[in-house]
Amino acid sequence: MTAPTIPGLENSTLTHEPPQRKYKRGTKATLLGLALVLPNLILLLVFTYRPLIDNIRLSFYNWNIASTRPATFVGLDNYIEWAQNPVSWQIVLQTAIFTVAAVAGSMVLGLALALLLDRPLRGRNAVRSLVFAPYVISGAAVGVAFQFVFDPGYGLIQDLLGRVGLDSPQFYTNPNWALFMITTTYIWKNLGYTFVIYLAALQGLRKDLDEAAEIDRTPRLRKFFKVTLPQLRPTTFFLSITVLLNSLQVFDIINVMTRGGPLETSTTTLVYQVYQETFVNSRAGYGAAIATIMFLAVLVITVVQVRMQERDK
Amino acid sequence: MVDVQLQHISRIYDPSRPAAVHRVNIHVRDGEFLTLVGPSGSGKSTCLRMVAGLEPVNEGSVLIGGKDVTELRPRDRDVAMVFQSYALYPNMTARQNMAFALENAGMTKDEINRRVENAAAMLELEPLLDTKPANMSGGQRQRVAMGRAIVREPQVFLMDEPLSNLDARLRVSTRAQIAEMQRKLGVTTIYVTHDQTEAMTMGDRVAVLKDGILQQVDEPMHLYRHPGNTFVAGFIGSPSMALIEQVPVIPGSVTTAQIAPGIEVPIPQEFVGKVEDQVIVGVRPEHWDIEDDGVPVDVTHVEQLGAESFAYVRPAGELPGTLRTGSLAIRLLGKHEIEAGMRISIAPTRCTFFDAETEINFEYL
Repeated sequence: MTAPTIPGLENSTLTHEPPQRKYKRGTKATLLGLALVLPNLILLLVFTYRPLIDNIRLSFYNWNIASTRPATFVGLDNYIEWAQNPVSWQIVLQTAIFTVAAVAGSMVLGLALALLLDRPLRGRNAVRSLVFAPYVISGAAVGVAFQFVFDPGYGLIQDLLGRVGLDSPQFYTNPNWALFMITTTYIWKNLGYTFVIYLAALQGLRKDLDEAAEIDRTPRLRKFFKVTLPQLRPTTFFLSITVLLNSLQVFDIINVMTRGGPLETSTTTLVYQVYQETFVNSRAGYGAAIATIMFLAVLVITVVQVRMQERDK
Repeated sequence: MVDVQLQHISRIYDPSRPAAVHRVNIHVRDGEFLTLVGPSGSGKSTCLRMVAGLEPVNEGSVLIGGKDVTELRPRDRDVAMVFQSYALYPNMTARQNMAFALENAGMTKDEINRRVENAAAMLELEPLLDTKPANMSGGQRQRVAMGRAIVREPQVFLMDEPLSNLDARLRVSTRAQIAEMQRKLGVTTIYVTHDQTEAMTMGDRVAVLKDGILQQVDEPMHLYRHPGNTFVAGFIGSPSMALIEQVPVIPGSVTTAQIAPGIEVPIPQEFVGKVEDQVIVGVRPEHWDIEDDGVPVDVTHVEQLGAESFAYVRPAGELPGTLRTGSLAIRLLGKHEIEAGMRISIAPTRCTFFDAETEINFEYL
C-alpha cells in the first residue's frame, strides 16, 4: 500500500523525534515572587507563627509570671492536670454550647433579616444600617449597655416582664441564665456581620433561577430550601468558619458582664480560662497548654469543615 | 391546545423615552410555532417575558386560550419556558431538574417517573439523568432545559434564544430537533431568536420586530419574497438584500426605475399610480446576473462557501441612486473565475420596489 497523498500531509512522516520543550520558570520570576511575599511572610512569622510555636513550647513548662523564679520543664503535666480537672470539661461544654448557639443563632437570624431587607421596602436602608451598627461597636461597650437590659433589679427585661406580672430571671446568679445572657448579647452584636454577608450573597443570586422556579410553580418555602439556600452554600460555609472562629475568641463581653461567673466558671469559655489562668492566676504554662488544646480543636474543626465543603462539590 | 393573543401590548420603562415594546399585536394560532426575530434591543425577549408574566404589561392584554392572563402570575399561566441561560437548578441532577415542577404540582411518583423517562427518551438524555448541570456540555444542558419544559405538558412553550450558547453545528442539528419535536407535540410555541436562519427554518410564521415595533408577521418564504418594508428586506436573508435609494423614476409607456445610466428596470404596472419621482429598489444576491451590458462594479472580495459563493462588489462609476450599505452581494453560480479586484458588469433580474418616503413595499400600498 502506498502512502496516502492528502494535501498538506505529505511531509508529516517523522524522520526523527521533534525536540521536546520544557518550560522552567526563570530565576528572575522566582526571585520577584519571593520578594513580593517576603514582607507579609516576615510579619506572619514574627507575629503569628513565632508566638504560636512559643506558646506550644511554654505549655510544657511551669512558669509563674508573678515570681522571679525561672520556668521549669514539666513535660505533659499541664495537659494532664487540665484533663483531670472536672472544671475543664465543664468549660469545654460551656464553650461548645456558647459557640454552637452563637454560630447557629447569628447565621439564622442574619439570613432571616437579609431575606427581609432584600425586598424593596420603604426605609430599608436605614434599617440595614441599624442592623449593622452593633457590629462596629466595641464588645466592652456592648457588654456595659446590655447590663442595663438584663439587670434583674432595674433592667429592660425586668421592666417588660414586670408589666405582665412576671419576675425577671436571675441573669447574674443562675448559671444557665448567665450563659443565655452572654450568648444573646454576643449574637446581637455579631448579627450585623452575618446579615451583611448574606445580603451581599442574596443580591448576587441568579435571577433566572428565581424566574424558572416561578414558572415551575414552586411553593415559597420549597423555593427557599431547594433553590435559594443551595445557591447560598458557599456563603454559609464561609460564615460558619469565620463566625465559629470569632465566637471561640469572645472575651470582652464575658469580661465586662460576668467575669466568667457566676460560681467562678459558669460563663467561662476556653479563651477566658486561658486569660484567667495566665494573667489572674499567673500560671503561664498552664494557660499556654489550654491555648494549645484550643488551637488543635479549632484546627480539627476547620479541616473537617473544609473537607465537607470539598466533598459537597 | 390553545392560541395565544398579544393584544396591543406595550412595555414602558420610562415614559419620557420610546417604549421597549410598543403596541405589539400578534395572534399565535393553536399549535403554531411562531418565531419572534429582530436585532438586539428590538424587544423580542421582552415580548416573550410579558407572555410568561415575568415582565409587567403596561398597555394591552395577553390572552392564552381566550382567557385574559395579563394580570396573572407566571405560575398561574400554565406556560413552560426555556431560558437562554437554561436556568437549570445547579444543585439538582437532570432528573431532579425535570421532576421539580411536577413535584410542585403534587403529581404521583409513578406519573413523574413516566413523564421524565419519556422526555429523556425523546431527547436522548437517559445517560445523563443522574448528572448535575456543572458536569454537562452546553448542548446537554440545553436538552435538559427542553426536557424540563416538555414534562410539564404545558399549554404554551416559550423559548428565549435557547440555541444561542451552542456551537454552530450543534445549533443546526438542535434546531431541526426542536422544530420536529414541536410538530410532534403540537404545543403552541413562541420562540425568540436574533438569528434569521433559525427564524426562517423553524417557524410556521415569523414575526419581525424592530425597536419594539412589529414590522411583519408572515410565513417564512412569503416574508422572504415579499418583505413589508426595507427593514424586513434587509434583515431577512443572508447576505442582505441590496437596497438602492433615491432611484429616479422615468415615466414613459413603461415606467422604469433607473438604477444606473442605461440600466432601467420596469416598474410593475400596478405600482405605477403609487410611485412618485423616486423609489427604493431592492435586489437579492441571487437576483443579479453577470451581463456584459450591465452596471460596471469592482469586486472587493469573494466568499467561497463550498456549495455557493458570493461576490461583494462596489459600483465602479457614479450611480443615480445611492447604495444603502456601500457594497452589495451577488450570488455566483458556478462562476468560480471571479476574484477580488476584477471589474464585472451586473444587471438585476428581479427587483422589489419600496416607497421612498415610508420605505414600505409597494405591494402593500
